[in-house]
Amino acid sequence: MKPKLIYNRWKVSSDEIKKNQNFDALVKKVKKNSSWQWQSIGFWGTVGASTVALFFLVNLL
Amino acid sequence: MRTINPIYHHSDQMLSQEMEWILSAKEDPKNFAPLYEKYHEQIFRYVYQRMDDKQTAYDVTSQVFFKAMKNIYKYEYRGVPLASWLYRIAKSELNQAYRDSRAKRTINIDNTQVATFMEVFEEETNAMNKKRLFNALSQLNGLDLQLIELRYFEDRPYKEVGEILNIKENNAKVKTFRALEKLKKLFNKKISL
Repeated sequence: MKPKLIYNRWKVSSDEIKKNQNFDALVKKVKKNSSWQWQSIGFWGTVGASTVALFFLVNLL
Repeated sequence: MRTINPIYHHSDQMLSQEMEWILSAKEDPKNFAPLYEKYHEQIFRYVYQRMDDKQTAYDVTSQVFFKAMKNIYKYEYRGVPLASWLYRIAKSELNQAYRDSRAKRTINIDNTQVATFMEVFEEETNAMNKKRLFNALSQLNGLDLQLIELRYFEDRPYKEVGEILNIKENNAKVKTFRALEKLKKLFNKKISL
């Protein structure tokens, strides 16, 4: 398909581009969608505590 | 005289600062902030140069940074700046947007660039030649168009063109020369105007 050709388009200002930045939303999306949780202390803390609890539970029974 | 992109080309000090940011971003995505701040505008401009809709360009740019932040743990420094990695992600996201029909492949050209080509082709800048140039540009294949855009529209040195397209600097030079020759041939071809 032939590309569309635009001649002398108005240049977007740096201020406008800056206004459209949304880093916080990206961080949230990345944390929700990726394996960052595997590296977090919270994740390993929960896994560790559950393992210990399960170990004692199994041995006590 | 051709200018060097100061954001893309780094001093040793800037490179080591960037490496620190990358290492820190590998620990936590929040630490990607200085890299986002540094590269957001140039990646947006690269994307918007190749499409017609501004909002879609913002969305694609956002997707580029999402992919970069998600995969930063895989990034290894191999002598090319982080910018070239970001451009490669942008290139792939753009292709995806064209395939999904979210964006139309667009060539953005202004009067300065038209004048540059007329100078290279040793032709006069007038309405007829402008039309011939537009027609020739729209007939180039994907890679040739990219080479022409990177080198002649965006004024990038061959080293940078090579890094963005993942080819050697010398190869970028040869391929760009051939692309320009093809453009010239198409420009000189008789067209029904």
